[in-house]
Amino acid sequence: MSWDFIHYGLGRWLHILFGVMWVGLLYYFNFVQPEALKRANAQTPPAGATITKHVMPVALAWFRWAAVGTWVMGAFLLGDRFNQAFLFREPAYVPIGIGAWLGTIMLFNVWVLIWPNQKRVLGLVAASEEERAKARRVAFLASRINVMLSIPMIFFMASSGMMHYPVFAG
Amino acid sequence: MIIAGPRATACYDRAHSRSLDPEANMKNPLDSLWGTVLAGLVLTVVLFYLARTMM
Repeated sequence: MSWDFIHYGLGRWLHILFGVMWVGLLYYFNFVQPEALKRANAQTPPAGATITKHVMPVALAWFRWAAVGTWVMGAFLLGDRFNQAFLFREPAYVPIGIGAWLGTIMLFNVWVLIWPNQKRVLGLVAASEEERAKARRVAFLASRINVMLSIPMIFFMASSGMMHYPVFAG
Repeated sequence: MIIAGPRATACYDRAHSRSLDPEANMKNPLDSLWGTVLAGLVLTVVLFYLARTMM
């Protein structure tokens, strides 16, 4: 097995696998769960707490570790071109550099804004009702920012191959 | 046509109070799921042209 296969074959495969899990769960949290919670809480007796108690912690665990896996495998894929991409040193690496920056901001949001605040919302960390309400708002907005950023991020990730170079270069 | 009645009055009051409070007029597009998607699409177009100028 050649190093190129491990680097570009397995590396890209794992990067995409982790990315699908990360963004898939992000979309679940934003597109699916709010509506499901609304419907579950509308029934008698309200069943929303079941989702919050049993689904959320498990989904959040896969979500945040998939984010780490995606970023690490992305960095592994960039390899010695890491600086060229992140610092936009080479024109061909500008699209993937923008995608990498968007992914990095999203990872920051997951670990610094979403997860610590979700711990308060879910009651895994002690918090007053006021702190919990504030945490809910911060986690919500950070999650929505990630949905917004995921749209250009996926565009730049998907179009970073050289076959799309003429589209950017004009 | 003249629109009157309690509904029209309530509607006017709501609109009037909003115009007096600047913060009430500000809406975060991220509060709406489709506002978020639209913001993401707009950001994609902006970043696309930014990438083109950087290359």
